[in-house]
Amino acid sequence: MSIDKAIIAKYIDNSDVHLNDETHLEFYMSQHLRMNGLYWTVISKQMIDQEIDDSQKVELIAWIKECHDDKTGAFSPYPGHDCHILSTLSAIQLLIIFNDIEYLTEKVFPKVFQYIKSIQLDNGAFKGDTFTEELDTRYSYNSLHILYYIKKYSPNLFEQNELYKVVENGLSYLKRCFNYDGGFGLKPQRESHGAHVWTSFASFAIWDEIDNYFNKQELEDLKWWLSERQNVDGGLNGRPCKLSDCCYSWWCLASLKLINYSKHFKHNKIDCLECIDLNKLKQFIVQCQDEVNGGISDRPGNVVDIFHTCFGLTGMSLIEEILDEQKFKRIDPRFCMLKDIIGSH
Amino acid sequence: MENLTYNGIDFSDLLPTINQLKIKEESYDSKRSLVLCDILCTTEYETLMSIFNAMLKVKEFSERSYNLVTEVIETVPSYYTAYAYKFEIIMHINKDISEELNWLDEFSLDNIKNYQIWSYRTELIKELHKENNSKDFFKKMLHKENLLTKLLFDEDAKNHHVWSYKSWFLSYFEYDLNDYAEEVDYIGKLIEKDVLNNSAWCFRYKLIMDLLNRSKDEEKELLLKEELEYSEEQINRYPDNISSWNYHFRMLELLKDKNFSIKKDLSSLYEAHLNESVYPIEYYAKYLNLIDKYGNQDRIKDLFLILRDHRDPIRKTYWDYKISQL
Repeated sequence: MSIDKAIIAKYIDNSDVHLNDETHLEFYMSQHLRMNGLYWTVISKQMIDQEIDDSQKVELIAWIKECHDDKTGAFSPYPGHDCHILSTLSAIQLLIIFNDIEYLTEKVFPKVFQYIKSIQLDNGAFKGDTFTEELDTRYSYNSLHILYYIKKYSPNLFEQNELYKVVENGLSYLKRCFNYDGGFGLKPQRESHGAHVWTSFASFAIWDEIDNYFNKQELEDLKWWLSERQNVDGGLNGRPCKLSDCCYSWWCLASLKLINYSKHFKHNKIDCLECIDLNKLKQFIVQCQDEVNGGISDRPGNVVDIFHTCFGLTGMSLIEEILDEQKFKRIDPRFCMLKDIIGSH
Repeated sequence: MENLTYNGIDFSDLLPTINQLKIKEESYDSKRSLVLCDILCTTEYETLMSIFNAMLKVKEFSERSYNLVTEVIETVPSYYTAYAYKFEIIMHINKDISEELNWLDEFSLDNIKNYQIWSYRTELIKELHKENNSKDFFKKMLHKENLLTKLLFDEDAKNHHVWSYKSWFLSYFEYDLNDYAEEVDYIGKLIEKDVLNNSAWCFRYKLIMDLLNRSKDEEKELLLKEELEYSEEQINRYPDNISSWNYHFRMLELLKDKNFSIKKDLSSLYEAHLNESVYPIEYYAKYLNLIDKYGNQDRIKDLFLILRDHRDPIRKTYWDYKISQL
């Protein structure tokens, strides 16, 4: 039993048509996350090794640039909407995937660093935009991830110290979101949650700082918390006593994978991922695929969407890497980008 | 001259602004060859929104704008801009904030998954507190807020927004020890109702940690031991519950960290429940490791083997790893 790649492709093509059709209600309902939707779609396509043809690429790049705010360097989720850090990271990732690095280094990075600084509070936390007060570890992840690309593609644009100050402050705050049960919450002292575990912990991994902030026992606690997420149906949940949801196949597996980056785990013969019964999880993800329209849903029998399709596939790719199967492309657990792309530039 | 009334109220004076905005919108639409989705807009909705946009443009602060924006929010409960504008109106025409909160209470109960209501509520509460920062007033406010959150938790005990709001309230105001006692009691009732509610256990932990930081050393030991007892009772009530075992073990860790003695032998607690759930087996191993890591190696290994081979085979590899680490 496995995921059917051919009908995944069909599903992506169909949703593409719907989302660009202005007579459809979905078109209006999903404008506020269109940039993220595009990222989930492109990653899903890449996972099944489906090419995006050149004319489509040109159109998409032009559309992404329409969402770029020249003043702040940030991106909006849709032309004319307000900028947000969520859409900014997705846009930057897409431009990297489409290999328009020049636009990033010339038009985006010189300004977006100031934008990122302007949404960071003194305590290191990040807001999602410049108008609202909402704090979330997701926004920390978005910002720290973007800073990684600035350092990588424009190493001489800013003083290294200036960049590291923002990163250090950001990571210290994220460490405060780490709970005694081994997970991370939305803010300090909030209930641990699978998605916040990944956004928090991956930020440390991106900056190669895991061992400077976590001792072995803390990482053991994290590993334990993540291994506790598997339900008897094989799927993973995001909090104790919750139902399985396919997207945690990404959040939790990727986090487990990142524990391997620590010096305490690097030399272990067994990958941290294996504390999950991967065959059972694989079965669960396969059951989430709709046999008719091809997409993947949160749990078997529910309506499918591109978000769960994307994270079902990326989770599947991590499983396959361990089971030594070759159906899907390999994904980097820090960035949720193809290993080929992160390694190639 | 044209007339414009909505719900019997005259808005004709706004027509020039409305027309001005309409021309702008049309030119934008024609440029992008965009046709507005018919399903979404009835004429009534379109009129309501065009009056709203015109008022927003000229920043009208009046009784009629207050009523209209209320209707906009009731029509589109997630329209963030409408809340921000409503708050401005209230500040400008000095509306009674308590009454506004009463409206918001009702509205929140009908819109339980909405999150804009919480940032609006936060702003209103801050203003109310500016007007009157007496202790009595705070107590009344706390009491009232707890009534509302209780009703919302009856609907959805794990609602993330409501828990976030409760945390905000707790960190924003200076609680005294009596207030904490009331809060602990409140959370106790939620746990009583559903002992598996991990969100409630997390909030209890936050409360107790705040209390611990404010207590003198000799009180600290008592507080932690009371919580240890409390979680033990909850474990006995329903042993197959990770939240209570986790909390219980955390109290043990804190007692040990602070060099308070754990005199009582807890083995009997774990052994009493070994057949009822995997958690007592896991936490038994953690407990043995905490009190005497080296002396208990063999017993810990036996527990891991039971988990691996019989009680928790889905995590076989994990238990193999734990055994290899001994």
